[in-house]
Amino acid sequence: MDGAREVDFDEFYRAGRRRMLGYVYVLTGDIVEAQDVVQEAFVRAWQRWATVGRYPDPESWVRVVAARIAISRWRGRRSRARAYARHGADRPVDGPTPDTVALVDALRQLPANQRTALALHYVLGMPVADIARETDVAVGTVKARLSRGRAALAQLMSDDNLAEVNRG
Amino acid sequence: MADLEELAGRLDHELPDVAWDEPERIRLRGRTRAQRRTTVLAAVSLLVVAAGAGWLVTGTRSTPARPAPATTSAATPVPATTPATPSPTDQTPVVDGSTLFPKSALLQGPDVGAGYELTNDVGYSPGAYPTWVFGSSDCPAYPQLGITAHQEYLWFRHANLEGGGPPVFTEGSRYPAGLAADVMADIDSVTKACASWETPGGEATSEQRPGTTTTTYTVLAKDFAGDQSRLVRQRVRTVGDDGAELYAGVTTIAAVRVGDRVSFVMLELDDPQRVRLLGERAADRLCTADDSC
Repeated sequence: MDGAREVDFDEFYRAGRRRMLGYVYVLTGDIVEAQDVVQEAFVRAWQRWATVGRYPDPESWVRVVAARIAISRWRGRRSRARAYARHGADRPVDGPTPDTVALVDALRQLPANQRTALALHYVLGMPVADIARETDVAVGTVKARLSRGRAALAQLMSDDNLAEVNRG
Repeated sequence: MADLEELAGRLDHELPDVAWDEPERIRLRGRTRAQRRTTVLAAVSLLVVAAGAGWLVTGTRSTPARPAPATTSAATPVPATTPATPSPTDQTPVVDGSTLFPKSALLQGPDVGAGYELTNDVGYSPGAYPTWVFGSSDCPAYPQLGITAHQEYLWFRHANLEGGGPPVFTEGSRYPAGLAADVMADIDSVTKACASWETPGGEATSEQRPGTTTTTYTVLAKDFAGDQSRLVRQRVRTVGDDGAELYAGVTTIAAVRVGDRVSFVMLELDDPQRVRLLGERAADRLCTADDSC
């Protein structure tokens, strides 16, 4: 039985980690940290797998946990040092293109709830109703967050500062 | 918005194939993780006993004597909270790490400001947490410093303090007798030997946008709280090869030691006055944790 549970979890982890990486990358803007957050969320899922594994959509649980970790975690040296400790400091990590980096940079300037709504909708393709359920708010609130987030993003993307980053 | 509509596809194509931990490794981390109260009684007891023995042998403790670690209460077995495949670890009685570094010994929400709350509090058993606040492995001088004291913690925990203002990150550790002072000495070593260094790449750089990151440590104050304390500014600045500033950030760090416990308080702002005050409050929390001050 335990073996079957491990198999279930392993399949769940393998199937979901890449998808989760894109989502968390949009929240953090740092691919190394995103990987760290995703793995941490799966560690926590395994700790509660007896319960989480029985949920109709366990990935939703992992998404919520990952988002909380990503948004609340202190960025910078701590995560880099941890990543170095786990993976070695010298491993080069290819990044996304400057256009994508610029877009993610802009997303990261939005309030966390708008950023999360946009990431769930545009990265994971979740319908508004599902986002409402997952973030525990009304459908209208999600629509408002998406709308405000898009408007703020458009403003940010037209800023001179961001154009400078794009050029870089 | 076209860019947003394309984002999923962009990420799918552009994000690198990262080297994921194998599932077995994830499960192992889950099993061995001491999330609030999971660690092996025998290991902790041994470390606590060793700590006491070390104190007796060396006699070099630099801080006033305080009650010995509560081995009796620390040894109170509690059930493991982690369902896992049966293993020797699962069969062994476990201990609540809060007896070694209680949650109440961390900086608390009201210490930071109205509306702040402690979140994401996680505890780690010995050897489980791989780094520390002043880990600077990309500083060329760091490897030669022989920084190891932080690895010897008996219990480690970290948490966030979140509210209406900027988040504060805090962490704390309990060490065998004498080693907490070594951790403070290691802070001095790192901030001196790694006062400034450059590394290629870093925050906001990529192959398409190369740059260089300069990191500096500046010690702003010493011994303002607890048995020992340090107030340090860490500045990270990344400049692209074209001369444009890609990233600039300052983290102000307070490190305070009371007896065998050390707490760190970090704020991602250049605000020494506030962080010093938070450091003082963190020291007060350490004091009240075991009525030692």
